[in-house]
Order: sequence, then structure tokens, then C-alpha cells
Amino acid sequence: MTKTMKKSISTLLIFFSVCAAFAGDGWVQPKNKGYFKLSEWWLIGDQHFTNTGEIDPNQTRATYITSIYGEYGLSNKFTAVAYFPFFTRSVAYTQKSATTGEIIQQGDAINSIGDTELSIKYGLLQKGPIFLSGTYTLGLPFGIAEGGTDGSLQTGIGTTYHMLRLDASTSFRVGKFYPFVSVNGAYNHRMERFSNEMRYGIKVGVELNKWLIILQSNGIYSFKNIENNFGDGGTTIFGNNVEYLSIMPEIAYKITDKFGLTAGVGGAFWGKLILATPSFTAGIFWTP
Amino acid sequence: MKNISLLLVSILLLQACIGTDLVDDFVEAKIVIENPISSLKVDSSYQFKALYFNNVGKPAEASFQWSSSDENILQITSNGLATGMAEGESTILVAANGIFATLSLLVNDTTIIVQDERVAVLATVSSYPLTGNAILKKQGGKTLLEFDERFNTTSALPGLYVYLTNNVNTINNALEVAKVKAFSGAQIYEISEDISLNEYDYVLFYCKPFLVPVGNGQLKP
Repeated sequence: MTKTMKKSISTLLIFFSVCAAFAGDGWVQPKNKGYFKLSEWWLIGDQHFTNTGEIDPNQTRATYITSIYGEYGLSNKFTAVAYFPFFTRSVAYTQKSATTGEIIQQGDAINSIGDTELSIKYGLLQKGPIFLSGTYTLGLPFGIAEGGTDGSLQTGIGTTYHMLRLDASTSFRVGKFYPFVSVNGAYNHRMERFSNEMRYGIKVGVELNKWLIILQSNGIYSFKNIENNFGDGGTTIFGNNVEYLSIMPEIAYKITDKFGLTAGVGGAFWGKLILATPSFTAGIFWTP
Repeated sequence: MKNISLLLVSILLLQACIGTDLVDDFVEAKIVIENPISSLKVDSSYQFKALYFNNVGKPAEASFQWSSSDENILQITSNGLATGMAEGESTILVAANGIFATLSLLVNDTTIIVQDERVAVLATVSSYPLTGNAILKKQGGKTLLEFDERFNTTSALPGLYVYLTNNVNTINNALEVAKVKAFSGAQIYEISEDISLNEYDYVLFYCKPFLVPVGNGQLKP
């Protein structure tokens, strides 16, 4: 390794912020009920998974996403879902010589709205404790696909996508607790320049008084139908043919019946073409 | 509400800064004899030129002092003008800023330029492949960097560039040759800058947008 970075990260972790936008699982919202969340997600990475899954160093890159996520029951079967990253910032760190102290390369940053998702979710089945739902998501490329002085900063992928997703959830009794398990699978059809992909995940959780403890694992498999990994620019978490398998613990604390806090940390234990570094999230939620 | 405001302010502060990477770019300072020869004709003169590169591989001003190990065979002025005095072997030495470089040469019946090309065996320093040879040469008044048919590297990076440099730890102060056109097989790049073959000692491959070091090769001789 020929370059040492100021920031040293010992674990090789990552998770993808959009996962938070699919928190509804197999359940749909009752009519006129909702769930809303204001959250911050950030990742600062000086190493990445290569196309062969190895880990190599890179200039430190950071992405910050401030978003609102909302679910609202249009009926007892239909739930409207929106994920709106209203402020997304992508940063490339300044390069400074450790020998002379001179600035080798000035840092760079861009700010914009990020790629936004609008979804409609339908309760397909309720059989005993098992709930099944289907969701259609329209991904809107409001983010910047090639920004900054060299075009390598991004706040979005720059293309529309359509995703179909199935969620199945169940809850059961263990002593005085009622843990739940959810699984999901999705097919994401992306338009120009980007391969289609399959997403999948499993989530387990349990509520302990005012605390909700969740452990989830998510993955992406790229069909690689578009060969070019990066288009004309570069990417951090917005690349083409990105693949990963992540694990993310998350906690939520109910301050009142309608208001609470969430926090999580996550990371990939396997990945390709994506930053290999921890990411974090913190937010507030309310259920009017 | 106050807590939410504090949270939002904290978020904005967190996002506001652009951090700094410290690049470990130290290399030993060195002097390069820019136009070496292997032999000098008796009774003829040859003007040597030298370059000084500091400890980040950057060309820097220096006051060179030249000397000969045997002035009966070769004499050299303080500004590098050498004259062959008699047949034999001598070593010239050029010094500046506490370091020096040497060159052994014969004094005989002809003046011979050392080489018209230099070759680097490429090797990866990353998880990305890099193999083959790079040849730096003068041809038809042009300076060319050529990759041989064994050249192979990755297409997985968003912007793979090739450089000439004296510091493989950074692309700062390196001469950018070109964005790599093909990821395998023979290819030639013309270097637009007027450089000597001895000015740079390494061929360096870097992913320019993300500053990922891929590999390099030392030019020899």
C-alpha cells in the first residue's frame, strides 16, 4: 500500500441507506395511519471492494443523506410510501502531503436533492400470523450523476428505475415477548447505463418495553447486463454492478407512544465496487 | 422542538467539513544525470546536464558541483562540461544539497550515447492486475511510451491513467501521459512534453478520479 490515509477504519463495513426506506415489511398501514421518519445517513470511506471482492485503498469519500421517509395508509390494503432525500452531500477529501504539508489536491463537494422513491404497497395476503405485501417503487433520478470538478462526485445514479418487491412477515410468541421475522425479495429494473438487479433481505426484531431491537441482513445481486461499471465518471455507492451482502443492527426507542429515536450501524462482509467502510444512521420517527 | 433543532444543527455541522487525507509521499531526494554517455572521444567535449528531485519527487533548483575521479583521463568543469584527455576509465560525480550521483565512462575513440530506450517491468501494488512491459523511447524525434503485447490490466476502474514519475506514492508532480486506451495488448502513447529518457524513473498506473494506486514499474537502465 503506497498511501496512508488520515482516517483509519478497522472494520470493513457498509450498509445502504435506502434499506431504511423499506422498513414496512409485510405489514401495511391501517387506513389513515402512518409512519414518518427524519433521518441522517452517512458514510466516510477510504477503501473499497474491488470488482473481485478484494479491499483496496482510495481517496477518502463521504456521502451524507438527510431524508424523510413516510408511509401512509390510503386504505386498509393500500399504503403510499415515499423516500425523499432532500439534502444529499458528496465529498472528496483534500489531499495533503505528509512530507511537506502542501496541499496536493483541493477537496471537492456537491450538494443536491438525492434520488427519490415513490411507492405503492398492497397487502396481498394475511393468513394467520403471516402477512404478505407487494410493492411497486418508482425511482426518480433527482440526484447528480456526474458532479464536482472531475465529474466523479455523485448524489444519484442519474437514471429512472422501477422495482417490484415482495415482503413476508410473521410474529410469534416467545415467553412474554413477540419477536418478528421478515423476508423480502425485489427485482429492480433500471433504465439507461445501469444493470438490473435483485435485492433480498431478512430482518428479525423484538420489542422490549420502549425499545425495538432489529437485526437485518440485505444483499444486492447485479445481473450485469450493462458492462460499464462507472459510466463516464466515478462512484462511491452509486455505481453500476454494485453487489454486497450486509448486516445491520438498529435500535429504536419510543419516547412517547407517537414519537421516538432510531440509530443504526451497518456494514458489508462481502461486496463488489462499493466503499468498504462503516456507515451510520440516526433519526427521529413519529406515528401520527 | 429545541432537541430537533440541535439535531439539525449537528447534522449540518457534520456535513459541512471537507476532511483531509495525509499522503505518505516521502521519497529520497536524488540527482539524475539527464544525458549520460558510456564513452567519450579523446580530445572532444560533452556537456552533461543534471536534474535534482526533492524528497517528494518534485524537480527543484540545485547548484551542481561536477568532478572527475581521474583528471588525467577526463576533466570536467564545475558546470558539467567534460573533456576526454586520454584513453582510460573515469567516474564523474555530480553533487548538490548533500547528495550525489555518479557515472562511469570510458574515454576512447568514440562518443556513445548510453541508450535510446528504457524498459519497465510492470507489477501491481493493488488487487487489480497489472503485467507486461513498458518501453520509454525516442523515435523519429518523438518521445513514446509503448506497452508490449503482454500488457494486461483491469477495466474495472472508472479512470485508469498512466504517468511518468519519480514518486510512486502519489500522482502529484508526475507527468500524466494518457488515460489508458485499452486494457490489454500492445499500444503506444506519444508524450507531448519534451523530456529526456532519464528524467523519470517509474511508469505509474493510477485510478485518477479516486486516487487508487494500481501498480508501477521502474525504468531500467
